[in-house]
Amino acid sequence: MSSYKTAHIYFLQTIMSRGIISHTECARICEKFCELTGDDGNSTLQDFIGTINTQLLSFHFKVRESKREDTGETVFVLVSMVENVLNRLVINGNYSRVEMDFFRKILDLIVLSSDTDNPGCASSIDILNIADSLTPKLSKSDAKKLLSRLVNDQWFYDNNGMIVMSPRSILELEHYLSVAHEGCVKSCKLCNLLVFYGQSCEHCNACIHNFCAAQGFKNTTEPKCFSCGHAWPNKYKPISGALISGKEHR
Amino acid sequence: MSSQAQTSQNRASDKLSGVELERKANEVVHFVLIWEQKKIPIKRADINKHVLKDHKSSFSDVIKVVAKKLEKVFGIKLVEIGEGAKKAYMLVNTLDHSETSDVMKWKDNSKRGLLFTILTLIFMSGNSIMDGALWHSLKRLGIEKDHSHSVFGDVKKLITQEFSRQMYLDISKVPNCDPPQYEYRWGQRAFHDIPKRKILEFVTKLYDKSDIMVWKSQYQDMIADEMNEQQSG
Repeated sequence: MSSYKTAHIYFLQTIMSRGIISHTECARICEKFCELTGDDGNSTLQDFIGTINTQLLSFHFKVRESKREDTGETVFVLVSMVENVLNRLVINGNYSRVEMDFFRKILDLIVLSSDTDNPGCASSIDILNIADSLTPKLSKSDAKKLLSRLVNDQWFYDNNGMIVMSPRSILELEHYLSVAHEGCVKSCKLCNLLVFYGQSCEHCNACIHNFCAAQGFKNTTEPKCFSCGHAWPNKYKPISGALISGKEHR
Repeated sequence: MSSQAQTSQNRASDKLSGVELERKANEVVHFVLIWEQKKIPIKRADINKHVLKDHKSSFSDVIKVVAKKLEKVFGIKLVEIGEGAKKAYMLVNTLDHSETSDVMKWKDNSKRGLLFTILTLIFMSGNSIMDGALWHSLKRLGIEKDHSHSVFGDVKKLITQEFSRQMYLDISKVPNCDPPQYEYRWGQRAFHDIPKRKILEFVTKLYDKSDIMVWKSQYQDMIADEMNEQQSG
């Protein structure tokens, strides 16, 4: 393990400021900071982040690797390893109490959509309609602003009006989600991580990520459920342009 | 109860040391970093209430360790402000970020732009400006006291409450004035966060001058500041 240098501190400050960064950008940032500080840039990104994590361990923070549920892109997230994170968000003052309620209701909506045809996402229209049920009420325009702020801070991604959770919310709120929605929260049958936005077996309801499906069904023309062996529904879509309709792909 | 357990229990309400001190210090580091998102100084009482609890007596020992760890791992300096019961702490970045803004994507970049503008106005007016003059200048940038702004929303609240609570601005009421008037100065965080040299370089560029030395009094002010910092740092 290489020693902890200024380039690592720069990187740490960047991810503290941004919360979540894609793999490709991490590599670019890492290179930039090594160049800027003249520190050794020969180690791999994994090593570089490993060095930071060794330092962070005792402070209950960690840079974790995960994948976007909608695009399968690898991302890195700075997470606090102390539980009860929803309270933490209130403390950190970025969101007021009513804004936190809204946040929580969006999570509810997305988690409870796991039994529908479109699991793990919610339309922005449905989300804005929650605003009325909050006390005190949130106006539609404020709710709209708040939703774009949440998307901007990358708690959610907006794929043409379909809102999905980002790894930032999944990793940070893992504990909250599994307690608040016991029984509704599933783990992917292939990678074992939590799954919200994905595809499920018609027979046993087992759920897997789209990117896991793409990987797992790569070499077969007749996909079967990894849990019960039932034929996998035809709605299986390979992960490509058709599935990811995010803004950046337009 | 064994005698060993007894002594450790006695110690619990007493001063922390060794591993325990280290562990509490780590918790405080976590806590102040989360708190910092608000950019509001953290009070000694907050740290005691949320983290140290029964170990208040170890505060000064703990905070020394915290300061060291913040600097070494996070590149952040813990700065003490205020006196006595009002003692508080704020975090100041120790790294040079003049070439990193493209990757850092600081939250609230636009707010920072407005703040920088206000600090510039104050500095160029001789380190203080009256609220009337400030709003008059801002109006020319399309920022009005009583109108909601498309980017900043309630600008008045942003400037008079948020910036001042974050200690970027120091706003004081001028005595014996009717209607009331306010004087704006740099707050403590501004002195630590924003180098006066940066402001002068910005103004020099803005007015297309050749050198920052053309602003004589401001230049001397800046030099004096930099000397001070060198001595204390």
